[in-house]
Amino acid sequence: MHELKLVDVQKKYKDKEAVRKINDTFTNGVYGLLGENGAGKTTLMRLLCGVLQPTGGNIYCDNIEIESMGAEYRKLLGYLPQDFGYYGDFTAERFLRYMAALKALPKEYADSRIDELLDMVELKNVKKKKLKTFSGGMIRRIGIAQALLNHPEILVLDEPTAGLDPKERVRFRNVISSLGKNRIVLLSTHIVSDIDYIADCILIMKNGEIIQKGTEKEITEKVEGHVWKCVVSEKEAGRINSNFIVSNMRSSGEDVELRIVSEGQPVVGAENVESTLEDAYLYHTQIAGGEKNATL
Amino acid sequence: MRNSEIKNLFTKADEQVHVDEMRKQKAYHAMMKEMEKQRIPMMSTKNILFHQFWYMDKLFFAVYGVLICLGIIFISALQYTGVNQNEMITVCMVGAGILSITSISVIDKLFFGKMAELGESCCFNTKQCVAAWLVLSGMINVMMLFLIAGYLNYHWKVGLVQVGLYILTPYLVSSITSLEILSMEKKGKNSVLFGMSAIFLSISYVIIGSIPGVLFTAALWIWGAAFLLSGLLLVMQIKKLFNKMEKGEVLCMN
Repeated sequence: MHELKLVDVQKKYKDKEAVRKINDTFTNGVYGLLGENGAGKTTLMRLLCGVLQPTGGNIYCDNIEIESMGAEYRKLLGYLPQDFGYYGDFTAERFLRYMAALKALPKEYADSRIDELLDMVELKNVKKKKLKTFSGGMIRRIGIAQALLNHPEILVLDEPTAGLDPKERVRFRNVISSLGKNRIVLLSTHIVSDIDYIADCILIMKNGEIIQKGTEKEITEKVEGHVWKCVVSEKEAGRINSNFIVSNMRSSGEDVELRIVSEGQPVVGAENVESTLEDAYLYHTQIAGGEKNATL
Repeated sequence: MRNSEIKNLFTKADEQVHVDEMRKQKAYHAMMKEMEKQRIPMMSTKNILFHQFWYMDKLFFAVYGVLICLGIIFISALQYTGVNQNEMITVCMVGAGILSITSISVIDKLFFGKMAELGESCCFNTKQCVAAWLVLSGMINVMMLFLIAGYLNYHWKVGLVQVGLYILTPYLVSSITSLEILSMEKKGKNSVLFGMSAIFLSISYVIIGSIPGVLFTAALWIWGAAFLLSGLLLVMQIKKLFNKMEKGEVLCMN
């Protein structure tokens, strides 16, 4: 079992601070990193993979700085970047062979592993097809396969479900869930349902900082009493929408049923309902940060 | 019970147990052997490089190889068209510059594309791949430059030191320019910049070669100074590029 420790990790790009002094420790399990676009998720993931160097602080793997571990650290690592590049003229099989070579895996080992992974991501029947003919979902799946080539003990997946259809998402969730039992799996997304069920620990990131950390239960419990449901007219719904965080809106005949995240009762007659991770995410990223008025 | 008291108890208990150093070492080695067996086998650096070059996109290598062959054919053919010594030296200067720019643009295509970020997280990372290619292409280029120098020396009776300076200086200047383009972080636009710099530098070498007296022995000290200066700048440029790669920003696409 490995331990990944971040001590005052900071990353600045000229005048922009993408990651602000993060202190955290990761051990075996699935960690879901939630945050809006530009929250610093990708930068944090790149720092964890050693692709970017922090401008401040250090990252340790088993108490050794990852920078000094070099290839030894990268051997433990499986990484799927958000927008991973590939040579369009490569076939799926050749791409994985190339990645296996980059990961220093011997040919015999790589051969069997590639077969196994192509089977797992259901691309075995198109393994001889060029990547440029693949759909977005297929590219994502081949990306996931390359990340798993070396049986990584630290798996970092940046927006792994982008472009996957619902069936693929479910299958992917199951794969990740099983992987997290004996390794560190860190995945970032802005789709709450991706990590709702599988993450052992959820981290919410905003403006380069981790503003919330805990299990799904712990995070949703914090917003109990702040989630409301009400049925209003269409005109009233428009007014509420511009003043409150509306997490769901559903037409119900002439009226509209709203789900609102607010510290106080948004409208007379609104009822408190059980909070979900999505409500909690909206609360912590928008209300707790003071971006929208919590009350009328 | 405090931690220090527990520690003391363990130390005392350990003192009472006789530890056979031989058996301890034997157990340690057996354990390490077993751990090694459980690890995924890794290839040697030589094999990683071989496999990597084997599976990677070889189109750009082919372009590089074809350019070298075309250069040799062009220079060989040129001597039958009645060019004089200075004109031939100028052509070789342009050739050396293009050779350098082409070999460095291969880095841009193979390692600095979108796969750079992915490659950086692998066992043999992008920085090492770039270093390996710089060494490999450097060796091929130096061999080519030796051939050109030997040819100019043998056929056109130009002194070896003289011809070495004439072709190595443009080679170094072109290398500095290409490496600067690589470290500019302007992804996707590098191909245009490489092409433009190749044209601009080639014109410059032709202009320099046509200056009266510039290829005379008397002007050799200027060439020597330019060679040393560009050599120094190249070292600094390589260092700068690798520092940027170390930071990682130059490798990330978004």
